[in-house]
Amino acid sequence: MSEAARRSIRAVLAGNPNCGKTTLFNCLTGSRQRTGNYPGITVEKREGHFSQDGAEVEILDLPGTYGLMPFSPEERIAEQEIVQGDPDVVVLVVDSTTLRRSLIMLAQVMQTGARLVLVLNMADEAEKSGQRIDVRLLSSLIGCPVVETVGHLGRGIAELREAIGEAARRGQPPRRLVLGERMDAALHQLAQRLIAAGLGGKRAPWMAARLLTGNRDPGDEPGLTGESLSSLREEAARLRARLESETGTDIGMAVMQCYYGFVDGLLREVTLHPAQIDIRVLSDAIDAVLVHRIFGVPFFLLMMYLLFWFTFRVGELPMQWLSDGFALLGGLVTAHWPDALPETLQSLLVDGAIAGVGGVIVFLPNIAMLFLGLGILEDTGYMARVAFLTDRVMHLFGLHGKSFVPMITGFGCSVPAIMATRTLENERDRLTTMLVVPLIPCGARFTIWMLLVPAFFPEAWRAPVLMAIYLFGVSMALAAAWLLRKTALAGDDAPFVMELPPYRAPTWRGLLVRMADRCWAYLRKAGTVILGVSILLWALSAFRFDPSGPFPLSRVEAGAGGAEASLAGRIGRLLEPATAPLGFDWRINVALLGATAAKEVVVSQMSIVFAMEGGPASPDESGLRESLRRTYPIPTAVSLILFLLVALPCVATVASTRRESGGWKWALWQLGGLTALGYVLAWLGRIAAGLIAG
Amino acid sequence: MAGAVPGDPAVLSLFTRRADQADRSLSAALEDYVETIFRLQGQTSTVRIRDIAAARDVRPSRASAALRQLDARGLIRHDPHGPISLTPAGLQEARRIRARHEALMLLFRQVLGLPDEEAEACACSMEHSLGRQGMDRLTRFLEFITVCPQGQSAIRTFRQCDLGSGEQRGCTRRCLPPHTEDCRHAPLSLADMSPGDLVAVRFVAGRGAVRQRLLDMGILPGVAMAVERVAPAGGPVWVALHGYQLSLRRKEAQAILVTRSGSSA
Repeated sequence: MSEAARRSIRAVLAGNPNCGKTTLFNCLTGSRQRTGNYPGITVEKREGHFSQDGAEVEILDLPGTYGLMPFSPEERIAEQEIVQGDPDVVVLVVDSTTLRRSLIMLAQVMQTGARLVLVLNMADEAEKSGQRIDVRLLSSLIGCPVVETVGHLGRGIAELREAIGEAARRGQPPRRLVLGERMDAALHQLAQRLIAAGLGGKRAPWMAARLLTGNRDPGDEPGLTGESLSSLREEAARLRARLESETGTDIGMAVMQCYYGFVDGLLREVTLHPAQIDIRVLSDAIDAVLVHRIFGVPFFLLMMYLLFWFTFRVGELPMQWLSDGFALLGGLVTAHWPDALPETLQSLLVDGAIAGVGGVIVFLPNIAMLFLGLGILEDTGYMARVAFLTDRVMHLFGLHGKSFVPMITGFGCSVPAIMATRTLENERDRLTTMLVVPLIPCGARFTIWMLLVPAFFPEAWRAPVLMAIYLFGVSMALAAAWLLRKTALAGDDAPFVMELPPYRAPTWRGLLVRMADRCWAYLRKAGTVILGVSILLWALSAFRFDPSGPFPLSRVEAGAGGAEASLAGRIGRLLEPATAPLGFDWRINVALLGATAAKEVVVSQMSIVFAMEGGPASPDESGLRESLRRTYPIPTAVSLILFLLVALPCVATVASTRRESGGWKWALWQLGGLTALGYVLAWLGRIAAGLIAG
Repeated sequence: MAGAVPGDPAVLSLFTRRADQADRSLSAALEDYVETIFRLQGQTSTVRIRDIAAARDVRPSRASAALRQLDARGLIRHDPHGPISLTPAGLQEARRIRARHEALMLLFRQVLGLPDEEAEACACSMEHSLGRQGMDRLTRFLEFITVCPQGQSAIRTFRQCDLGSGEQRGCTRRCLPPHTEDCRHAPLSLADMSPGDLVAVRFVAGRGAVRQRLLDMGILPGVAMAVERVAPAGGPVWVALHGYQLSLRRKEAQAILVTRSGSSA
């Protein structure tokens, strides 16, 4: 194999938020990163590979930015990867329907001197609007390959792969960026000074632009030293002042106007046919209803209600099948148990593994429906409207409209939600959102509601109670945010400037892939953490401390009173004085201990304890609910729900907060604060429920 | 202070707030030490006494005496012979000093147009001597004069004049309003518009990251926008421009000065 054919190519994928970079990334590499019709889905850089003409292409998916001047963290990442990282190819993805704005980044990337592939994504939508672009002319004008693609249909992917290979083979691209005589002269002059001062030739033009706009001080540039610094500063200030007085405006605006001048000129040349049909007609008509001045918010609440109703009703039947299936499995194992094998093993299998894991897996259909529903809301673009509608309220509580993405993600799981706070530019907004996210009821806790709500509330009450739990969680999150922004994290607000994408039909593939990923993660957790904790809790429940025997542990006798004597019972009893005001008994206490590993364990542990008490029984869901109803009064149920909603964020959540906030301080505050708050709320809730229930 | 632009409102307000509670003020020399450590921390991973002494051009023994004082005030962490780092309180102090310095640099460099080194010298001599109240008021004024469009244009006109040759009078005359209709109308901002209005952008005020974001989104003088809808109760404004749609909070919309060119309603 020749040297040239075996080389590897480093490429980065850059572009505006929500222009479909991640969809293209998935198409190129065959991976399944999360996508959505919402700006800011990709918060980390992600890597993937594919091979093209025998070369290994390593491609990096950058977070979306509207420009390369590093102001926000994402822009800093993008600038660093494109300028400092010196990749072989920069793949710039633009939304074909908003070329005028999107191509500003083209001008900036051209300024960096990178080898470039321009991707006109969403070409189908542009075509529908009647827009025709002379791709070949565009390619020759900017001196780099141009490809039209439709990401979600996989159109143009093969051409894109080829273009990446071709761009990497080409040498340094010719400088085709023209920003007008004055600007070009000033930039050229400054770039020459930078080169003379010892800065690498390729980087000089971009550094000159940053220096001229005052975006960077030459002192921060590692390659520059000593006496050249002050003369560079002076030169930049002189050129800036001259340009400002010539253009009659400030330098920031003058540069942007030059970029726009270039883009407008380019578009005039290459547009064969301008867009004539407004593709947003339908989108606008939908918005006239969904984002209505008065009905917008009620529609949003209705949408959320429908989502929960849908999860309950559609998930109910398959859940029954799964529940029956596990009951049958438990029964089969018990009935056909060979006498030669110890009975303890049978109990481990039936009461520990099957009851514990089965108790969690039965909720898989509900989880699937929840994520399908959220996926539809996200992919259509409705979530961006929700941020528009809710920003006013979020802002009242000191949060940002963009905090809405992490909070919505928090309905799935707090861990990715805490990671999603990276889209927030302001550190205080970010910390606030991170700290209150665990108050949003996550998918794991959803399992608990699925067990508890039908156990204690009659049919007609279930959807409203579930809705109330969610509303309460969200209100608590807002209240906590408000408190934080008034005290520990007081400060200025970050701006809210957000693009609203048109409504788009979600693809079944995208929805199903994401739903399957979520379900698979749920099953994997059930098979690992929850199985392990279930077995541990089973062991604690099945054995008691027995100093008389040869072995200090002995089996607990099945039946009433037996489980209480077990190790778990002892630990739970030990905690009873602390949780007595909340009405919790030792069973709940043990379940809460397990819940710190993963919230679903509450359900497993309840299944195990009641299975042991009733003798070797089946993990029948309705049976368990029946036992719960008999054991606990309504006020205890209310206090349990409140405690689980607010207190004890799971280990993974605390660990993510530690990582994202850069220390234990905030993570421990979160753990301690939420647990204390949960305790007080649960106590108050129990008293209130006791009064109402009489 | 990576990314912080001199005179960024966030930086200024950080200073303003801190100034109100600055009781435990440091001496000028100690402030310089905090500033030096802050700068060195940004450049190297471990800061040692000799680096600080070299940067401040003093003997290590003198630097070490100053560091002991800072340690006693809880501003730095300093194990004997180990590296030196600022505590969170020290970092806050350093940012405050940096913000004050940047506010003064804004005055001498951007407003008065002094060359960088001269501006630096002025800022250095003034920053330690100016009292809390005076500094506070000055910061507020700078914020106002550099954000307000009239202020910006006044600064530009001022800097275009040749101040050395006694042209001050001519310069002042250039500022007088040429009796245009603009004087009678306060400029309208995007936040004053209602759904259905068609507007043309006249000016984008503000500074730093927020303004850059607005410019990046294509909001430039002469650009036409349509106000699509306004969220209830003073919520964000939703506009269409360049064939796409954008929502902005009212506060950001107020920075965009516009003229109404019509109404689709």
